[in-house]
Amino acid sequence: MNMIFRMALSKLRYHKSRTLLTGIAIMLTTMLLMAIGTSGFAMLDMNRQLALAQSNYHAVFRLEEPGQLPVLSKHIQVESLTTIESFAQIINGKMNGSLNYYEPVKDGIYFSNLELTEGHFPEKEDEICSLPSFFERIGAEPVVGGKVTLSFRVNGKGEIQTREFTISGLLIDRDVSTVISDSRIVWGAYVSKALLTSYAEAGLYEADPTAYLRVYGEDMLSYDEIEDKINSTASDIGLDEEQISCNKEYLFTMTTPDTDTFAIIAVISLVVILFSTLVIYSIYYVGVITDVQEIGKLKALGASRRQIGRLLFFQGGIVCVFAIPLGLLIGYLLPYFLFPQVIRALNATALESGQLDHLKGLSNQLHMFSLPFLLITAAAVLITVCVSLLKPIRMAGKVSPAEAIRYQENTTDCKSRKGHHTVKVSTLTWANLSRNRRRTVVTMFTMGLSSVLFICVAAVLNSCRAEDLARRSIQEGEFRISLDYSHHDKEYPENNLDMLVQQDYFNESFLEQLSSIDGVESVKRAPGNILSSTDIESALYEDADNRLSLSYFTREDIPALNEELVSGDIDYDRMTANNEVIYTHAYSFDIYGLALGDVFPLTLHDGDREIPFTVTLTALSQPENYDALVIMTKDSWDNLGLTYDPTTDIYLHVNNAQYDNVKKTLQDIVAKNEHFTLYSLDEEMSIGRAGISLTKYPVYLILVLIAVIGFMNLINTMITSVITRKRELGILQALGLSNRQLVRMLSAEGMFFTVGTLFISATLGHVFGYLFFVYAKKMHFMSLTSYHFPLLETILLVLVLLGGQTAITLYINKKVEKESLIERIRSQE
Amino acid sequence: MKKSMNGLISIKRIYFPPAGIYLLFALFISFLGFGFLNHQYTQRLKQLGNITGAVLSEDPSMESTLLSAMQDTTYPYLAEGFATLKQYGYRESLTMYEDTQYRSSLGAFLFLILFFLLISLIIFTVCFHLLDRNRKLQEKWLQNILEQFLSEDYSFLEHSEEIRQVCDESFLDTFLKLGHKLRLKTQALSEERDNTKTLVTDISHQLKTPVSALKNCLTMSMEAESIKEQNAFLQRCALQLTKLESLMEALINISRLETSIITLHQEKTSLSDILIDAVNTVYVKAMQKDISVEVINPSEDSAGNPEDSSFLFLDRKWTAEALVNILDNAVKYSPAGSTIMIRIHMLYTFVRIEIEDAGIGIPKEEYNKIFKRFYRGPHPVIQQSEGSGVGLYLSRKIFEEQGGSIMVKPSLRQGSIFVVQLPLNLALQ
Amino acid sequence: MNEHSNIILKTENLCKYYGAGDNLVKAVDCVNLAIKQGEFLSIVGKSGSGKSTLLHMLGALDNPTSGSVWLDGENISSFKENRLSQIRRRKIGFIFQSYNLIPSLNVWENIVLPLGLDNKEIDTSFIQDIVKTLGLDNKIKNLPNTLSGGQQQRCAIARAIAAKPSIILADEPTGNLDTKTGDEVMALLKASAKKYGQTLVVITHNEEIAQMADRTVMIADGKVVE
Repeated sequence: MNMIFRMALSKLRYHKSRTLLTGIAIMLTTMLLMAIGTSGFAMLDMNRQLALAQSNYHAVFRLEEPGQLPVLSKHIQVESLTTIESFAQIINGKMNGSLNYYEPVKDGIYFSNLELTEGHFPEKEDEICSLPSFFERIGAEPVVGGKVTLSFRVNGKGEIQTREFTISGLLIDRDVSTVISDSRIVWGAYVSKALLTSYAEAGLYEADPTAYLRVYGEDMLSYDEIEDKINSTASDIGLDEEQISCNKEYLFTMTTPDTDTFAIIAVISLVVILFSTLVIYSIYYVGVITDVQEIGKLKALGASRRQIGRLLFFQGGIVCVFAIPLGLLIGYLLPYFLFPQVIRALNATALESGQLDHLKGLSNQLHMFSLPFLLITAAAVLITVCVSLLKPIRMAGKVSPAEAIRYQENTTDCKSRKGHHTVKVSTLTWANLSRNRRRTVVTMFTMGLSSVLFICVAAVLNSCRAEDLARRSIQEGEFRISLDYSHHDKEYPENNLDMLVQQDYFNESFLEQLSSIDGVESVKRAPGNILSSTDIESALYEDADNRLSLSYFTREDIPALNEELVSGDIDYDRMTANNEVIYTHAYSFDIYGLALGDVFPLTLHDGDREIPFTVTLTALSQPENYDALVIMTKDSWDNLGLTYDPTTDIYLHVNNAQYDNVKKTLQDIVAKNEHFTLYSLDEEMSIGRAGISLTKYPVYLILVLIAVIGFMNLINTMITSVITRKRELGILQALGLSNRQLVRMLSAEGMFFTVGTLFISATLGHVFGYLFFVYAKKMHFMSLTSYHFPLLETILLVLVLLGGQTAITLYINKKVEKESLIERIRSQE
Repeated sequence: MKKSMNGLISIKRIYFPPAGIYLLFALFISFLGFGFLNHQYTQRLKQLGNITGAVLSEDPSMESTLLSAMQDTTYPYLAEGFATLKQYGYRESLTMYEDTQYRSSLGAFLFLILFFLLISLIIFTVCFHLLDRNRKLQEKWLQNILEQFLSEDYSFLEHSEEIRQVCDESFLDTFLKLGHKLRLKTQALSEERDNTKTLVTDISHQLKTPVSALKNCLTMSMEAESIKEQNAFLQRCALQLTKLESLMEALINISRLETSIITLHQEKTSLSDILIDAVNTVYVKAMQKDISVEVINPSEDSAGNPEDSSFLFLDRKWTAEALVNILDNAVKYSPAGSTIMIRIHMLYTFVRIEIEDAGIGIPKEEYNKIFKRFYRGPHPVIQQSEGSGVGLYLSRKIFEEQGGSIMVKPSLRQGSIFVVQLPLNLALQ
Repeated sequence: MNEHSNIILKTENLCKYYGAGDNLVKAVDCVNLAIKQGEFLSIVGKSGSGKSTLLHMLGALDNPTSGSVWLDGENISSFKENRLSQIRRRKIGFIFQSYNLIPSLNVWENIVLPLGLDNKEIDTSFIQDIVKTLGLDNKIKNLPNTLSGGQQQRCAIARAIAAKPSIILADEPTGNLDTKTGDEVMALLKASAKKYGQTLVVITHNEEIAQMADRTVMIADGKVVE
């Protein structure tokens, strides 16, 4: 055993280049797997931190009776509990604000907007704390100990009280005022328990606390289990489900592993593993083929099949011992340093600015290390190496001593060869390639496969156009003014669509105002939306806060709808006659357990009017351009006889020359109405571009690394083919092959691989690339619309392959020349 | 041998430390388990005291109800109690796992057990490994000893003490017995061999002196002076004349051949014809010396393709002459009663004719010289016999002229083999 | 013609040393040889006597440490690599102990390889004649590994002759063959060299084979002994 180990070591040292190549391949594989996984973890952690950035409560209970709070605080499942009582409404012009009381009953809940920068939370009756900007807004100096006078109505009703407060503390100021218009901000100031008690004792205040709580088991329970726990806790203290709401987004992030991320990681990892298995296999395969004589000698000396296997196994193992830790280290460090960079780069592009503020802060301390994952990666690579070794080990085991001694490098089985009348350098090249067809094919296959993969993915990525993505939010024209509306906001019902339509923001005069802007060519209303609610139980409606918006389609839309039809059929007239509707999202269709033929008795909310309307789901289609999940025919829509204009979006076509001016004007107009949002094509394009490059470059990076792994194989094949033929090449030179001819011969061999690879990737790659594109388009990946031939990428691939291959040839030739002709002729391998 | 012994660990040292660790660990686990139980018990006591205190401080009249409730194992108040507790999340169906107070200790306990299992596994593996290693070392030791036996080295018998501690006593004894016996037998054998050697030397020494004495006597008897002696001298003169004649003939042939006066007429000839000519020429001479000439032609026996194998493109006369020169030599230097073998082998492109005699042989240093003109070996037999040193030179000339070759090799019997290779193929000539 | 012009290959104080100082090995030490046109010279020596090194230098495979090799009146030890490969394919035919046929080429291709490397037209009838002479006519499509040792060496001889070189250098050509085959190969080599008028230099440690040569040179410790 020791002997075998020593032999393995010395063999590794002897075949330096092969060892190095295997090491690099293994190292790259490990690195890739590790880097992908670590990035995934970083992503998860980022989501986690983003979710945490707001608050970490699981659910909000709107308590109905005073007795419920003490029970809840002692409930066995409650991990932590905080109550916030809304004490009074601040009266200060148009300002929207309230005086609240905040009490952490059981520690552990965190609110990002309740962090003190200075002072303490109010304790005495006349103390108050809030954001500095709040105090500025009401005209007071934001310093601890400062005085501020406020008018308020306790419980939002009754007489207006005025009182002077002392500032006891200042909360972290968030720079929100620039983003959201003043009237939309809900200002909050915090007062003391003492104040509440004094008013309550005077019978002026009735406590109505809201409980924010966490239950036990966040780290081990699933989303549903936690939801069940919250519900059962609520029912324990006698609360209806109506009165509770879960922090869905937070819970979802914390409990549900990001399956998409995991799926992507798994797929990429599998591809990487597949490739490296192939490459490592072929390196060892070629190794065994060339070592047959030596193996035979060992066997002749009495080495058993097991020992030979072990010899190979040790060789792999020793390389792994060095390559895997290195790969793990680099694979971890790469995302460790790059991921924050990517986030920072993202920061620079125009994405949702609100989130990026957090990103800035958290990107540096992302937690992305996972010991189990590290071990799994190491194990996966080890298994990969083992699997790659299986066949070569079996092959080596089968070598018989006698056969090995007379073995003359695996020749094809045929006894004769048709041959040529004369021999040119090209004849030699061909003869050598065809001598070891299997090796040639394996090498070309690995190389080809990685190139095909590259072209394939490049085809799809190249077809990702920022414009396609931008067109998702601006379907036509250059600008879109959109009405921001809520479906069912109980706290601010004025933001709900049914209330907003009553304001008639998009009236004719507004549209005329828009058309009159210099440079605007046309203004167009997009199909409107109307809120609907239902009395029947439906997961669809529950998930959308019981209000779902409906829209419509016209006869002209039918071809597009049919193209994306998943199930059912679309017959405009029949649908109009029977009030049939189309569902527009296949994924949620299944999630909500919907089926064609489902009947929904709906109530449509046309402003203050309610229209009963029963619809039947008869088709499922997946077009891109509908925000509404349910669409009816235009005729059905018209038959509703809506009183209010349901338009929620306006598209503007503008003259390109005056684009900037129009944008400025529109920005001003939109700024005047808090409910308007302006989408401009250039911004959407840059967002789209950022999104694409965010996908494109990491994917290219992975592909390039895969290609590099594949390239290892080519290098190995070429080097081995030269080293094993060292003597043969020497003989050829003794027979008069000049150095130039030798280089020509070697590069022709390499060229064969390159050209073969290129041929495969040019043909298969583009065919598969197109198929892949069609599939991706079907899956609505990146809003793909049209196929763009990846010309640049193909040219790049050609150049890289040619360059790399030439470099290898030159390197090999240098290496060969180092030895004198005699040494080469004498060498017996 | 000593080296292999060093690694061996006594069984006691393999078993005791792990067993000790294992026991200690089990003890530790038991203590921990006991600790858990104890902790839970004191916890329960404290809770009991706390509840009692709380209830009694509110309502001292509850005392008897409370205490009877504590001791009554039929739990009559259970349903009512849980009715209240329910809103705090305590249900009868609540599992230990759901209760945070217990969950952490449960987790710790499970972890401990897992840890224990892991430790056991490691200990077992180590033990197994050590035992396996021991076994291997013992095997290796045994093999070493056996190999020493094979090479007749029995030194280990002197150092048997150190093995005693790691080897089974009875096995070792049998083994030692075997070793002793083998050593005895080997010694006996080598003594016998030495005896034989000295015996042979002695005998040959004894023989030498009488043989040389005999030879001297023979020479002395031949030097008597009489008419008979004179006749003998005359006869020797005649012999010299004949020798001279044949030498001259050979010389003429060489000069002709070298000045290309003779041209070899290559025509389709049967090899057998040539051989018959050659053998016939020397036949009489051979008969006189009672030397037989044997021709072995394996390809003729198989008779696969007699045309190809027997017909060559050669000059019949000269080729036969060349062969005669070789055969003549063979007859000349072979002792009476011996056999001259002529073997014929058909090769791919040549026919190989081996002529083996039982003569005096040719030393290696002379291989290059015998085909030279007028070269005669320094061997006394050659010096005494008639000959000009031309024959072989001539033969070589003739063969080479026809694309063939000749060389000489030592025969396994003391004589020489002349190897003549003649092309089967016209293309070579 | 005078004696001098008849010399095709000669060496002048040819030396090849390996190592330095105490480790200096004089593989070939001051060898002066002159080989006549059409001559069959055998160089005999024990293994390690430097005979292979000598042959390599004669064949322009190796550079001498000092001294010169004159082939056809040209000092080839001063030539550049490119010129040397030209010399090798045009003027010298090599035959090795281990045949050294190119395994991926068939017999015919192996034979015409030196011509192909020189971009020469193939003299088909000439090659066919060689093939026939060497008894390879029914094997020309075979790959080398399907041939017996003797056949492989015959193929190597054919290859050495094919380019009509002025000199054929053979390094232990019978070393890997059994006696009978070896003898045959030597006879063949000699006969074909004679037929095609080529000078033949054979190195061997086998004195039986050396007998076939017109002249034998003994070499020991890098020096010519006789």
